[in-house]
Amino acid sequence: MDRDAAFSEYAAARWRVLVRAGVLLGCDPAAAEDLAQLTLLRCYVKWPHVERAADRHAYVARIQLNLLRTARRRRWSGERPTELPDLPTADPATRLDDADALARALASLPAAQRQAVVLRFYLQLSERQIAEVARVAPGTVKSRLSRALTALAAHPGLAALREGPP
Amino acid sequence: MTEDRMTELLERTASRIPASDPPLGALLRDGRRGLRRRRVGVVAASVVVVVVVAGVGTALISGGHRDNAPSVEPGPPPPPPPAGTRWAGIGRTVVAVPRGWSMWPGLYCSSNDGHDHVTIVEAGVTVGCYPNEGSLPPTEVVALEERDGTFQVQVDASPGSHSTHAVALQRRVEASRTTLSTGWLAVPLAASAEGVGASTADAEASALRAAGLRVSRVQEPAWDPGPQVRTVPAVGTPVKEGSTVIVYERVTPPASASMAGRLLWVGGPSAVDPAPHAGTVHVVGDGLDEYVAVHRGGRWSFQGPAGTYAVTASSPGYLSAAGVPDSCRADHRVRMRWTRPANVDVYCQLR
Repeated sequence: MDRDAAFSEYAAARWRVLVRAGVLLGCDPAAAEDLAQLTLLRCYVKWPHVERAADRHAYVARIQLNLLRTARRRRWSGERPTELPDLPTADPATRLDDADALARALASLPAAQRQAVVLRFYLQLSERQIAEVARVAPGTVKSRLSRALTALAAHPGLAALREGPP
Repeated sequence: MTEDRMTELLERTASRIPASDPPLGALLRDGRRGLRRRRVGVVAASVVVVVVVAGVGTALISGGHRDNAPSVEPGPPPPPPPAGTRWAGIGRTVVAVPRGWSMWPGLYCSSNDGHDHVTIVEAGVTVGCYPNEGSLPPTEVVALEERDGTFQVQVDASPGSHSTHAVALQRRVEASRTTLSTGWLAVPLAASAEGVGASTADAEASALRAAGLRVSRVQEPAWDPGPQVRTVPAVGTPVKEGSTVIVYERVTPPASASMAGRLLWVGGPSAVDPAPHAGTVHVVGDGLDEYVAVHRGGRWSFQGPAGTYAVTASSPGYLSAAGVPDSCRADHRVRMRWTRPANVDVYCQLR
């Protein structure tokens, strides 16, 4: 398969995941799409590296996080969205359910913990992979995740979840 | 809160975040441009060296550019459509239709005159193909006829409304009729075997390839809303010949899922890099207890019902000559889903 075909297949399959990961990491939806687009562009140019990567998703996650960091450094004095946008639901009565509550609780976490949670529980990277992506020690990832889970469990909006699944 | 619960909630949260379709055309165009810039940079650097050494650099530069030049240069892209509209059509003929109008490959009709018609109807008024039972008779129609079929824009009047709006709209659509430049075409729609109903993903992919387009196929779970088969860019949208079109197909999730990864020895006094080793991976959970052989390269994979599993392993030479059973482990329980293979590395921690 040539570069364009292989890349197109990958981009089509991962686009939504990348956009949604961007929003979960604190971008507004438009910025998350820009970030996903930049990430995939970088992937296209470095496609042989992406194809050879032992774990492609982790490699691409690293590109996405690096671009996010660069973008945030550039607009250090600008606005930093920390809350997820209102999530559209068909039924207004279900707006304040667990997932909405989690979205708000996630926004209250420090950036590093939030990043660890998104990489671990949304992108499904292992702690070791997160350590490589975030360039920190595996123990740091473990403690970030542990603190994040404790904070999320204690979040008032997620009180019901402390009891476990309904 | 358990890790499984967190994963489930985060996925539910994410699934509500709106995401548009991937801008594949723009990505490929910008990506190629980026790649060309890199190559030109490399070529330019080589030329400097060659000029210094042999004085023949110019010939090398022009040669490098010719490699990427297409045999027939496509004409200019279509002009921007009027505000609030987009181009849609068949073959090389397009008209400007309101952006909000739906255009699904599933809406495929066979009329009495033997021609196939794609029908676009004003959103929220009628969905169906004239003369479907129950739909309103079309007030005005703009038909683009090409060798391979007819693309029909059907403007229906809302129940009880006056048809002036429909007539004005029909005139605007008709006036916007535009022929695409050489090297451009509208994304084609595959003929449905039954004449009515959705074409299959295979048929759509074949039609796209026959039209000189590249195809990328993606499967979506059947519970996602939308037509059975859709394309990005949508059917009827002008694209450059040779572009890539994604064909999305809704499929019923398979009963089985998979996970794959490596068996690695890590850590130790000198904290060496993770090293792949042979051994046996042990997968337990949801009523399943299976062993998977891991060969020297450390790679392994497992297929089974979707669910949550504990993954451990034993590796000969680790802790004993035979390897203590299940002394190596993944750093979390693994949730195996049908949507994508789970990536699981199993670690034998050296002290």
